[in-house]
Amino acid sequence: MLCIVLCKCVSLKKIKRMSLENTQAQMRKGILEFCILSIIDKQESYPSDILEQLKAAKLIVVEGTLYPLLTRLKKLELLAYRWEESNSGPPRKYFSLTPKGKEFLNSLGTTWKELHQAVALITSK
Amino acid sequence: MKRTISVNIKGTNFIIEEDGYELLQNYFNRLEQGLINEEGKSEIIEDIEYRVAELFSELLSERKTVIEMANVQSIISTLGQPEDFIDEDENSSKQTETVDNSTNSRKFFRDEENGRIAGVCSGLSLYFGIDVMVVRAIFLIVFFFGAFSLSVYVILWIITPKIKSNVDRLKTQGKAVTVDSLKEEVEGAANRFRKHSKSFAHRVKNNENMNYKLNRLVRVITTVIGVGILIGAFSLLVPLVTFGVLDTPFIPAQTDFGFLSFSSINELFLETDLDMSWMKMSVLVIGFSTVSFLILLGLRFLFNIRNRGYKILMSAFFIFGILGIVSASFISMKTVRNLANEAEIEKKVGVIDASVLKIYSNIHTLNLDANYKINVNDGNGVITILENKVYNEGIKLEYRLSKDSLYHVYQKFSANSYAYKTAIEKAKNIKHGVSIENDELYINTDFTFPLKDKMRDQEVTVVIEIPKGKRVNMQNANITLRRDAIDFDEDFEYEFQSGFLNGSGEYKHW
Repeated sequence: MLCIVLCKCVSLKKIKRMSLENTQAQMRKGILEFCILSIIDKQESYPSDILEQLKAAKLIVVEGTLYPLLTRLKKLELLAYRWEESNSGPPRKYFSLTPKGKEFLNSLGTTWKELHQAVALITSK
Repeated sequence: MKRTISVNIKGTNFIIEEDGYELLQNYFNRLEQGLINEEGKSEIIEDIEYRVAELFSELLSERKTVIEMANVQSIISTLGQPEDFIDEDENSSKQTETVDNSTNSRKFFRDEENGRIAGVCSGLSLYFGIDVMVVRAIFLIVFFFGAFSLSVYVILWIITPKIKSNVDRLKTQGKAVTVDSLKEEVEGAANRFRKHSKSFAHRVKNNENMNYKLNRLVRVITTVIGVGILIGAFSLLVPLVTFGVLDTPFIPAQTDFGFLSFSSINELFLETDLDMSWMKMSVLVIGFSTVSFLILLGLRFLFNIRNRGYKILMSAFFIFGILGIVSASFISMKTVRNLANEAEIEKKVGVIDASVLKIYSNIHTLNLDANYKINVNDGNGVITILENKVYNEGIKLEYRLSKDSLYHVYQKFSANSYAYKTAIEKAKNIKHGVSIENDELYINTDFTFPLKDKMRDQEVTVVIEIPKGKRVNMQNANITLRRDAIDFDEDFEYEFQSGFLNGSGEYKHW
């Protein structure tokens, strides 16, 4: 799915056909998944942790965005979770990367680097 | 002034202003609409519900106890409108059809909260969805077929983590950790807590942990006592069935069939057939009442049964047991009465003229197996039953002064019965071999009497009258009758002496 997104990003022809809004959403979404996976990779986290970091990085505007993404990543078997009791509120879902998720994140990291270089190269001209 | 309502979100109660609640409800409805094509719809909504509960918790403090309309508004804006973050173009629903449920897989936890000892059975019952009593019963049954299940229990105890939270409880049951299942659990826990607090209401408040530990300790102790009583009951049941019901011979003796059973012991002592069946009945009643009583008592300890019918049943078995003891005592007393009168008959064997009387023991070999020996007569004899005859060993010897210069030999038979007349009959029925050959005396070490005469303290004594100044030689013993220390007249009192010849032919002088 993400690959499709990235292909869409790379393929300039396709980008021209899409509306700006849609393109932005698609770009952000691809990056967002990458970022979420990275956050979880660093440390097992529950949604509020992730939200805090994403908000600090100004990557998301509304919190609601996160939840469908987490569910989707979990369904793709990239994430797994366990429940943990909380002292202050309801129990928390702690997410961690599955081996498949780690692999996925690694290749995303590579792609991101390539992409970053490619974008830098192209836009600097 | 605004109306508030209490709302339960993810197991936590919040007091929300009514219009705030409506706003929230509306938001979730729209969320549901927006996510209608999404695969993990319920999970996403649930996650958001958790977030809402968390944000609400953060808002509340000691001063602030009510969620206001404005709070709901700001939270909704933080979360964002459904249309802001749900994109319709995704064909995700098709892509994510291969859903893996492994995250909801069952995990086995110990349930100490509802357990008896460490909560292993309780945990297993949650895991398999079987009633805990059934699991415990299986454990107990297996327990009696070996310590296997005990070791399994201990191993499971050691390796299994205990349930620490409602989430663990759900995992054990294999329920998906969802809002509803968690809510159900929380309510269940609340009910359990209410039950506990009711029964311990009189105890110190504010000391729940102490109560809990004490409660657990009591449970462990009662369980151990209960299991102990059950083990006792079942270990009684085994001999009761084998010896009482199946009448397996178990008392080592020489009989036609090797061992004596409970019935044959009865036959040996009890007078009539009625007595025998009466005695057997009584013993069986005592045995089964005791076992039943103990089983009920053990189960009561184990499962904390407080049932009136159960109590009545236990009392009934107790009374049965007492009645059995009374009736067995009655038969025993009746039998003891049969030993009331002793009769003795004396038979002359012969006269011997010798300077010294030599006595030899004559061991009657019955082709007996020494493994089946039991000791009677103070360890000097063996009881044997062959062809309705009782063979008893051990002969008493008595020495008294002869009135002339000859040795006189007599046989004395004695037996007991309720009446003197029947005692004489029984004494007459005793057979014992004594012979005189070449002026030497041969004494058999055993004697017999019919089984129908019963064991009525039958004894055989060989009386030897020794002439003044002469002696008797038996094995290593030389027996002479000395004059008594007390010397009244010319008429001397001579000492009375005795000895015993046991089954293996050894003589012991007393």
